[in-house]
Amino acid sequence: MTGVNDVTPGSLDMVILSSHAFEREMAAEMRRRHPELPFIAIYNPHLSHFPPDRKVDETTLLPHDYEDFRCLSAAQWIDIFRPDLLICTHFIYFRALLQASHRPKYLIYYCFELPGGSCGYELESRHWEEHNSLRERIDLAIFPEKHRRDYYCDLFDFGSVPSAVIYNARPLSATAPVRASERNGRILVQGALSFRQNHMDYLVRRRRPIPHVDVYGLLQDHDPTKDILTNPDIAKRHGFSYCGFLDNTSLALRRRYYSYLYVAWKPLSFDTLYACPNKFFESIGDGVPPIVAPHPQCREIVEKYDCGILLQDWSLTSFERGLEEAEEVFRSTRYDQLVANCRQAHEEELCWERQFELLRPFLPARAEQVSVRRGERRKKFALLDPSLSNETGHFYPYARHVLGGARRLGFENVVGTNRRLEVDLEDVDRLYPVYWRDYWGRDLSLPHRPKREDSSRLFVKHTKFILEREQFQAEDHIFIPNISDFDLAQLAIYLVSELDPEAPTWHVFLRRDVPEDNWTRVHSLRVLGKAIDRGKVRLYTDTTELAEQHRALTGFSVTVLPIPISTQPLVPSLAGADAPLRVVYLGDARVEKGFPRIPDLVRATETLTQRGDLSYSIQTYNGGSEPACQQAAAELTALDLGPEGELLEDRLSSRKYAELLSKSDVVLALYDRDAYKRRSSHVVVEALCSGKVVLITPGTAPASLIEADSQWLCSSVEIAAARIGELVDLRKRGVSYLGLPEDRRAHLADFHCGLRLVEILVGEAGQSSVCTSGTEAEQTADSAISFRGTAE
Amino acid sequence: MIRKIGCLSYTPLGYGTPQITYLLNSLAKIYEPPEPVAVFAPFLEDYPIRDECFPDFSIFHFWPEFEHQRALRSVMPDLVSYVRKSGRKNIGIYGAGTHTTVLLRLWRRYGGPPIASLITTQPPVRASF
Repeated sequence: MTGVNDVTPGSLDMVILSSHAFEREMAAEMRRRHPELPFIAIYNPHLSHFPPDRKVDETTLLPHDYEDFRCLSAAQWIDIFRPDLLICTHFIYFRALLQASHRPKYLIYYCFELPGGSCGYELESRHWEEHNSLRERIDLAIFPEKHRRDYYCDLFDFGSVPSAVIYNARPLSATAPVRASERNGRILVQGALSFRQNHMDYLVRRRRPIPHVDVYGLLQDHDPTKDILTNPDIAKRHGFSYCGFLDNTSLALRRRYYSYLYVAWKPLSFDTLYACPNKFFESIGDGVPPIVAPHPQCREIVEKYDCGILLQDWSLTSFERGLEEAEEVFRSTRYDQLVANCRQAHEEELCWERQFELLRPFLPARAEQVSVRRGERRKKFALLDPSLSNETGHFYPYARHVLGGARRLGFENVVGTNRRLEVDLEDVDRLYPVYWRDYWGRDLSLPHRPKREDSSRLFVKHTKFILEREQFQAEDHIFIPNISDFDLAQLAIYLVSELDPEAPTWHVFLRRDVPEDNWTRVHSLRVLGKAIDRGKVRLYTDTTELAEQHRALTGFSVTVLPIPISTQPLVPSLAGADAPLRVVYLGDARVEKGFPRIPDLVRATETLTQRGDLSYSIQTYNGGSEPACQQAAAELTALDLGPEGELLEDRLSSRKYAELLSKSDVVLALYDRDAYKRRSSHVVVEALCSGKVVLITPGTAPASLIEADSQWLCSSVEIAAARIGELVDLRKRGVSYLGLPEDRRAHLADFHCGLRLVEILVGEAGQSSVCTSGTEAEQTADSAISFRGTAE
Repeated sequence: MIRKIGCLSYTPLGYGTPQITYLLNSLAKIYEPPEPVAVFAPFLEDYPIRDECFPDFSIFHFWPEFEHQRALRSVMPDLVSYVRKSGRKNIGIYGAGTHTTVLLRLWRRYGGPPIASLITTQPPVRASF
């Protein structure tokens, strides 16, 4: 790495600026420090310094479409959450409002920023178009300053939009101001620290280093303010300290002990002249008199309440006089009066509660809220899945099938999902996108962030949030289709502590084997013993083998559930005899799924691929996480996958997954025998129910879905290669084939549906069954059927 | 009937413009929506997450870095092609944050020439790439 000042002349031929936020500053820095060196500014190509011999049309290098990305995400979010009342806080989201299909009943535009002002959002023609399109849809526009409202409404012809002006006030303070004797005698400077917008240079230009000034705020690279504030010698000499960047809450705790707050923006644009700073109102609320430049709103308030020191103008001289006055007033009765006036202004007018009252006449009535709540209560079915966020994996289709089943049984559906929900769930009455962490403890909103150790505490905390809102009763059911051992441990402690006859029934799905070296789950289940015995907690798996393992280790009954899939068979491949046989590997590329064996299989059948009789479609996503898979993925890129062969590097959406399965002839399930000894496979069930041939490792739980002597059981790559060869021959001879006999396939497809699953969950409250012999499908189907007889 | 309240916030919650959360809290108090107040807000690297302060909200963090990734992906083929045709060998990148991490990954993927130097104004965010 090289500092920008240390770049040796001639060492570089060209530089690419790599920042979105600071590209302008970087360009200025480059022109200043290295005027001879060509550079490219990606986001502002007109700032680039192109080499004279390689001029280029700037638009060629301008990124396209990306500005839409935020709006597309926001539009999708609106369509998923479907708010009745939506607050839009910036016109950058107007495009999202127009793109979303859902139209909120009531739309509030809270206009904090003005276009073309200090915030840097330049006006484009599309902004007028968007304002025109939304003018009739906005029910209330809120502005924090009256001149700003007039300017904005004039600019965009928003005169017909109902509008209100409210101060940027904070909620009413519960505590009295700190006494003058406890104040630190210092001046506080907080907020945006920008050389262009503030007078930070005044700190080093003032003639006297008193009173001392403490500065809080975010320092930005490339801003000269950073050099001034972070130099300890300069700071000491000129009587100020840079105290870092704090959030609102932390800063509010410190602010109360300051003697004054200094507020001023350079009045260079409309919005900085007509500033309405939060800190001004926060300071008054804390009884800390502001020393403020004559921004019209601030001037009006200080003059009205006599609650601060008003500077004559924005000059250095006024700044110095203001500080001198502050110094003189402090510790005098005049200071006490200023503090008292601040408090009075805060209580009478400058608090959020008073300001919000100004909005009440514009808001929709609340009366009808109550009448609906008094309606007849339906039994509730809650599905809680912190991993449910998008279409990838089985979480989404699983939830969709289960909720569809619950809906058909007349339940009121409540769903708790990850807060980064990006899919539209049908059959949901109330949606709680509250979970921060998924099954693995990852924050899906911020994938680059490390896992947190307290994710299980959060899981219970967010679950309690839903419980408090929903007030579940004994007739209700809560289903957790996916839970980690750590989450289960925390949940067990909570459930046992809340054991109550009126509590709902909890249905906990145990999806994976009990680890040999970790007995957390067994311990947790034992903690739950009392709740299980009372029928308030019920346990489930989706294979007999897994059920038996849990029963053997804990002594508790465990019920086997169907794997809910689409019961409509997928469209069979219509390829003719001349088309290549399509073999697919679906699912993440993992060792346990047999991914490292795939290159050997492709090599063993290369005569067929080279002849055009065979094609492979292989999902290689996640290939980098395990070295063996990484190696296998690399090998596959060099192999012939056949005429329609493809490697799928990304995770598959539900649609793409179904499409791939539909087009396939053969599905590979050459799973590791030990890893899948007890675990189920959605892919195998869906493929079998779709009439596909599935090549499965014998001895695995999914293998129990086909006959014990099936030719499709493949204990080695060589056998799998031979079977694929046989299938190619069959196709060439025009012979049709199915993975399962039709009656068996239909039986399996009929059983593995969401409705059946919910019937078992709901009906079995108070009963239990463990399947210990025979094929899983037959056992569970019989179990469900016999149970239904009992229920009737 | 107001059952769901949502907000498109232009700033991370807990910083800068607290009136957004004041308004949401006041509205939630009036309408008592059964579902949590849903907020779409950007996540910015320099602003530590303050979600714990908003237990009644469901916050969808939009990561502007995704925007940048998309931007870079759209421009990278032309950028690499331009640099290659220019015949210049010693290319520097000015920046050393997460944006640069993404840029370098895409640069390599699209066959960009080796980068001679990373230039920084401040100490780098990451020690190596």
